[in-house]
Amino acid sequence: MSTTHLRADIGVLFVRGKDAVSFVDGLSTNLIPTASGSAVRTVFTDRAAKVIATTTALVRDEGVVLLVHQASLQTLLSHLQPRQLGQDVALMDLSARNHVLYETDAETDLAVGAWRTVDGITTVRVHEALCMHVAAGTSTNNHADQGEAWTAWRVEHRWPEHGIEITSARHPFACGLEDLVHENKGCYLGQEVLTRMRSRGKTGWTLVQGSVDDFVPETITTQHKGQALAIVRTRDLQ
Amino acid sequence: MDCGTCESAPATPVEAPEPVNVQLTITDKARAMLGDAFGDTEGQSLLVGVLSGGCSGYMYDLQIIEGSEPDPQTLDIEGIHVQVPNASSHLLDGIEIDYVDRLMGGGFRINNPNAGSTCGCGESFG
Repeated sequence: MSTTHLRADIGVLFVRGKDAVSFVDGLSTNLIPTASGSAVRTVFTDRAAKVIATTTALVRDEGVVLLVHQASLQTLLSHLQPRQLGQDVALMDLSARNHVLYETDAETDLAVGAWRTVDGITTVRVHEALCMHVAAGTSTNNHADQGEAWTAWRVEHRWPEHGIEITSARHPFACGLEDLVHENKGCYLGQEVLTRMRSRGKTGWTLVQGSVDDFVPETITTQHKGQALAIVRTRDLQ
Repeated sequence: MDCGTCESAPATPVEAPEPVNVQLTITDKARAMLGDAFGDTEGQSLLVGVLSGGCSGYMYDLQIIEGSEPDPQTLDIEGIHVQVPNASSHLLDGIEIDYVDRLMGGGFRINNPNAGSTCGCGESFG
């Protein structure tokens, strides 16, 4: 059965213009598809490969919509603004015009990595068991607080959350975002560091899921009913 | 999603630095190589610009173009017609365009006093 989670903490940033795809692609870890209707999660990193913002990118004809945690939106804007230069790119914060919902275990025929808009609601499927919905205005529904259900889902699916596992002190490999670092992509800010870590098999830290009893308490970031997410040293996994 | 109103939605203001009058130099070796690249075709320019991306955050954009780029500065460096977009002029003032003649890693190289760091391949700086 699906569960809906109102995410008032997720903002909507529209990168508009014909250079939007190359702009986002050139500054983030995953390969941004060019086809309208496709979507991918990607991470903006700094020169030391530390996380600036984790985003879900929806590719449209007019540009790229980024769903990004509000707490990192301003930092991301400060990172992107000086890099617009003479490119055909405009940055529009549409957070106040939209609201975002997550739906876990949704029944949908939408493929992972695709989005579509039906009756004004844009739905993107980012995981076999997770869709994100973006709708205009503020939510008029009385959403129940599903915090515990979201935590349970996160622990079950090893899904990192901004401010808990994902922080600016960590690189993507350390907080469960390794799938968002494309293996064959060319240069972007932080790429040299991440490529070196991956090629040498030395990422230092990694996010793992297991029983609470399996971990030293200090390494546990999230737990629910005896199961936990923990960030541990990779050498301790040997 | 409210994107139908995006045309009227205000774009986040770009805090673009003021354009600066770019001073750049081209080494003798680079000038000779550029002379060969231009050939006898009239109306060509060397575009020296910057794009976002690359390992260090900014990438050089070096092209031979015909016509004019939007909002450029034009310079004549000892017979080489150069265009520098105003939008990236603050990142390019004082650069030296050189040519490195080696089998591996050779080609045009930009020495940039504004760069705090440079990518190993020389195409990116930050």
